[in-house]
Amino acid sequence: MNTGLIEGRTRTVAWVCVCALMAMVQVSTAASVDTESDVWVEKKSGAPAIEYGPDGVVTVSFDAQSAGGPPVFQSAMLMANATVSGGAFVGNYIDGGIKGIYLQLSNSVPGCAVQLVLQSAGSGRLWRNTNVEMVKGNGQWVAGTVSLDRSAGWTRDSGDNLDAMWTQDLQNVAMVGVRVFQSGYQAQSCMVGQFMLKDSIGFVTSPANLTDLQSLLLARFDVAGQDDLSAEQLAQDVDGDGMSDVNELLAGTNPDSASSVFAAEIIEDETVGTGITISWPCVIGARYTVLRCTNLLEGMQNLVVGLVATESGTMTYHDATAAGEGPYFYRIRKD
Amino acid sequence: MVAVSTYRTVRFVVVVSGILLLGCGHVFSVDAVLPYDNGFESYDLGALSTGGTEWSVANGGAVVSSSPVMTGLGTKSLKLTNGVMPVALALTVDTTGSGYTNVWCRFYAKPTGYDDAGGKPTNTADNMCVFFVNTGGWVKAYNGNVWWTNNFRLDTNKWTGFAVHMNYKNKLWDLYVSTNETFNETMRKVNTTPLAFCYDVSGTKLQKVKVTGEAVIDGMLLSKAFTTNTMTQTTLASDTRYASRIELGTVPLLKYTAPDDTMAGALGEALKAGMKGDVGGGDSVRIFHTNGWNIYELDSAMTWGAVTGAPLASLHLAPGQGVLYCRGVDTNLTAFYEQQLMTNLTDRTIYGTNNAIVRGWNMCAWPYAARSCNGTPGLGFASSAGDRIYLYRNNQYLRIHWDGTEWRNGANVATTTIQEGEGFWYFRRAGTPANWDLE
Repeated sequence: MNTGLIEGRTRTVAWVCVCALMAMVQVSTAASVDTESDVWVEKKSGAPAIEYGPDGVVTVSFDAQSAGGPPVFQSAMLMANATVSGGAFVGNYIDGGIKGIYLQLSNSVPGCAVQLVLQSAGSGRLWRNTNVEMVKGNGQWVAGTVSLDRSAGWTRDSGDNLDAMWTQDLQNVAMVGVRVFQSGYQAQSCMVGQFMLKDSIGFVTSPANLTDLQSLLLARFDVAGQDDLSAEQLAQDVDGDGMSDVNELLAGTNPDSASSVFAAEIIEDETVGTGITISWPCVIGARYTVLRCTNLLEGMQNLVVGLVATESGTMTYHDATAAGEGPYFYRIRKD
Repeated sequence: MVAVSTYRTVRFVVVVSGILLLGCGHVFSVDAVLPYDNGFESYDLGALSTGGTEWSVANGGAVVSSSPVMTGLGTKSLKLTNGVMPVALALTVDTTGSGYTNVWCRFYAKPTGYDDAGGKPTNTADNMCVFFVNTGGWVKAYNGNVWWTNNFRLDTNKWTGFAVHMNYKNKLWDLYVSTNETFNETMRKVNTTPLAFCYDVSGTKLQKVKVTGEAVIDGMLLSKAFTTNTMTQTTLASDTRYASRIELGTVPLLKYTAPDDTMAGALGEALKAGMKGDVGGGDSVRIFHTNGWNIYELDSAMTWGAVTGAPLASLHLAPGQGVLYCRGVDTNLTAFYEQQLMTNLTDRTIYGTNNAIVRGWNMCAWPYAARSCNGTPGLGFASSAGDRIYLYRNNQYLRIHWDGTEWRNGANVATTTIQEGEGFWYFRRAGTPANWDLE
């Protein structure tokens, strides 16, 4: 928890980032990213547009289909470094200690259908995992690691002993990648930010199960839980605004902008009569509690609980009961 | 004479004319890889130069010729003549690979009748299937016990299509012919009961095809097949599966019963013909059913996988259902299907809606003999004004619409004939489903 105090005139406002969110993060085990795909081999059906951004983001787009003609099935298969012979994406995943596939996706609304695919060089069998399809349509970046445990959703349609086949095929992988296809007839697009093999499991879940905070932590630190952050990561303050990146993620401010920080201030407002008005940056949907005391040695008491931000920006609270001489100390907590 | 043979465990001999030759001691430059399709078009005219090819010639006499040629098979053929008899032409097949249980061998030939009193082919061990045409035009085939004779005569002055289906699972083979000198036309089975392999093979792969004697041949084709059913029908259909193309066709015109009528059953095995697997997903079939896509693709192990839609065993398919056959970059392949005369088909639901998002599209295929859209008895649709049919021909759609009375192509009355097995889209504009009366 990161706590600070600001004193203004005879009254003091305290700001704080909150620890309540920490309890929501249950995932453990830091994972290291082994290899990121930098070469995608395409296999298209229909006429999807595939664009590569300078930051390595690949975007697959489908135009809306005309209501006047027969439906067309459209898809794009993106195979990671499939032309790199002997590259990190082929070979024996078990000996290589590869435990999962990390990917970062952003899907439109309505969204494309997305699935992971893996094919063996020895048997030729093609496996798919549709759990990533759950990210469809959230319109935001989500990231996560899909375990290479077969129970995580890897399947194919033939064979009596899929578990044995899967184990065998992981020892001779020819191709791994992402398949994106148009779901329905409306225009859709899907961006793949990162696609990496992981040598240990960050967590075994589909990305759709990530909370917003987990997604943010993964994107910035490659771990999904605060407990997995190193001391160095916990102390990191990229924008130098005095608030650590982790706490900025918790508070919903921008850790890359010094002007964006979770700090409260007093607003002089002559229109509201007696009392004190406090403002702080807020995130839509978040709940905030205002605490107050007149003597720091006596501890803070809840003044108002569960203020819900109806939009992102700045939130204010007017304490009409602060009519005395003070001093008054305030703390804002994001629940 | 044509002889097709294999290594000890598997040998197949086809005799079209002349004298059978079973010698197999030749050195071959290249093995033919299944599927194999050679109309001799890439060879220089004149004596066949076997270097670098899959062929071997004994006693010379194999000549690449521009006359006669089979219509539809280019401008060259291969003559076996004028050599020191018997001329033998052998094709050695690469037997690597797996996943298939059947092999088709088809070629077109003008055989010179062979006098079966003068040293007919000998059923020698290692020969799996043997047949020849005698001077009377009768096809004779060895059924593992005796020489079997078919019940009709061939005209040896005409091109005849021969197709041999080798079922390794059941160690049976069938012989089909076509006699109208039309490439890719439907063929008919000439044996009334399945023929046993001449030699009790333990192998599962064709290893050699041998043509012996005096004949002209064209369009030698070998392909894999996957269905393990013993063919019960007498009609054989073939379709070219064009590389890098999408073709709208039909499911095999055969009445499968559940669970064989699914992609997990015999129908699914039959649909593998003419298709190939690949890394990253190979050829696929796409079936639009009950207003949604069902996509099945072949992996490198030649097994179907459901990309989206119903699981393999859940989607029951019947004649009347259209299929998009999608092939990747490759060579054209030929698919063979046994086919039956379609009668008493179950009516299909034709979905309708005025909603532009959930549109009333139906992927259909015509299961009967060719019929004019405005002919009698009609196509069986209880159409309403605004209904449309889209036929996919020459890589583009041909659209006709129902004006409330008849089918029209633009402003004109449509004269379109829908071919047997031709796939098409049917758009029903009305807001409620109806039955397609398959009569």
